[in-house]
Amino acid sequence: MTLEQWGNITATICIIMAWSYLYKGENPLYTFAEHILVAIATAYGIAYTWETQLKPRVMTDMVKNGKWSLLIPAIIGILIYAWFFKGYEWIARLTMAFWIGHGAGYALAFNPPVFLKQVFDSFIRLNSFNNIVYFLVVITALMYFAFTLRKDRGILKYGSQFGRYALMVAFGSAYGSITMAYLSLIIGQLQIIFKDTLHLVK
Amino acid sequence: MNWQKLQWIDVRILYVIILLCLLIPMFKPIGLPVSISENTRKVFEAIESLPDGSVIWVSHDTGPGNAPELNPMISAVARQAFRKNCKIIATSFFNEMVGPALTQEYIESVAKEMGKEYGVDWINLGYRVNASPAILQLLIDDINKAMSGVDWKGEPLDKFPIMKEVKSIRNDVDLIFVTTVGTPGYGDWMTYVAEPLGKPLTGGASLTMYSGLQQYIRSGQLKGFLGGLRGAAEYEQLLKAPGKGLAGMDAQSLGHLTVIIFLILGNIGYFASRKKA
Repeated sequence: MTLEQWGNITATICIIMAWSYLYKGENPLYTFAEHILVAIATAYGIAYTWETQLKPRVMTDMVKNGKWSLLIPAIIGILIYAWFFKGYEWIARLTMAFWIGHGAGYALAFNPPVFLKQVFDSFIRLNSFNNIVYFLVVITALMYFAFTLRKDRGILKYGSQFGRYALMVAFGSAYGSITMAYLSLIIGQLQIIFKDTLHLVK
Repeated sequence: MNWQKLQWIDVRILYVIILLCLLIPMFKPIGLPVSISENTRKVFEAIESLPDGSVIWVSHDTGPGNAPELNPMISAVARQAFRKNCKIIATSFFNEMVGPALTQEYIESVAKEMGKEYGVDWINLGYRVNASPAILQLLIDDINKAMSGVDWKGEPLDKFPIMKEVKSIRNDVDLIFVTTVGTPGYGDWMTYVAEPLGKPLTGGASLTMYSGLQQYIRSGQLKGFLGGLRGAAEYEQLLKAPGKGLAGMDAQSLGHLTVIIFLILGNIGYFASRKKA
């Protein structure tokens, strides 16, 4: 038997163990499958990160090419483990401060053009049914989220009500898509069992 | 008849019925027609309009949960790219455990079939921690540096001919194709790579994300979109290369029908119980 076939058989057994949850809730088979997944993911993650990220940085960049300046970000990163030392937890905040500060600053520097394009896209000609619906939904959904204005009478009352219904339609559509996606996932698992492993389906 | 009972059907019975509805068409395909949506056509055309020999960045940002939906898209995009003699630089930034391996498996099977060589026509750079924004930012100007100089198996990038031609996304990549289920998502790729460089961005995602991506599609920032297994099936149909996407469509359609029927029955039960109360 080839390695691929062994892989398919293992996948099939794990799928059935995971699906046992549907029949009997949390049970030993399901828990066993869950633990296998978590253990493999953790071990693989550590090995993969060492092999493709840490090893090239340490062995190639630092030791071979002499880029010792990389120690500075490395030290800032290691400080996050201060969480585990009582009385020194505050040091870990330095790492978070660098991370969030850089992330937020960088995102804000780049984001306006991306976001504004979508705002400009809402300025449309009202020359078709779809465009009129789109325009109404954008305006009324904004009305719904205008929390600092009084919405108990007039155009804001009816506008925000319409906006709420529009949002509910959007959530309904999202939920429908999620159901559709989950069916696709079951089909994928069934293909592994009946096509790749048992060869009962062409 | 006591309609209220419809609300309390044992959920395990529903599971079995749905399972049967998904299984039967797999054994005996019905061949329901699959119409092609405008969004899928746009993805196809975005790649088709590239000059032969272009470089496509394919990021298969998926995990085990959504892989069955997104894997067929990777096979299909590889097929279209290789038909046009385009080169593929692949990454997978969502899940280190399965992402790079699935990327390898699905591109490799098409590459072998079409006589394309690893390291010459395509390469898999794999996963890196904290891709957004750090790695995406670095990839713009120096792929080698961003990926720590190694491919998904830790092999040095210098030994692959393709990496001598493709040094940065800014100068050497013509289109970005991303499948996503979370972070990095289209927002990240758009903010840090596609928009600043003016590179076309296209791809597909799990259907769970479809509603949340509409603004990118409408504004044209995303050139088309493949929505889940259905999108993959449409794409395979356009390529005239049936794969796992089209194979699952009968089952999916019948599954939807079952869900809709039970939704109606559940609502009948609900309204019947309200009337009685």
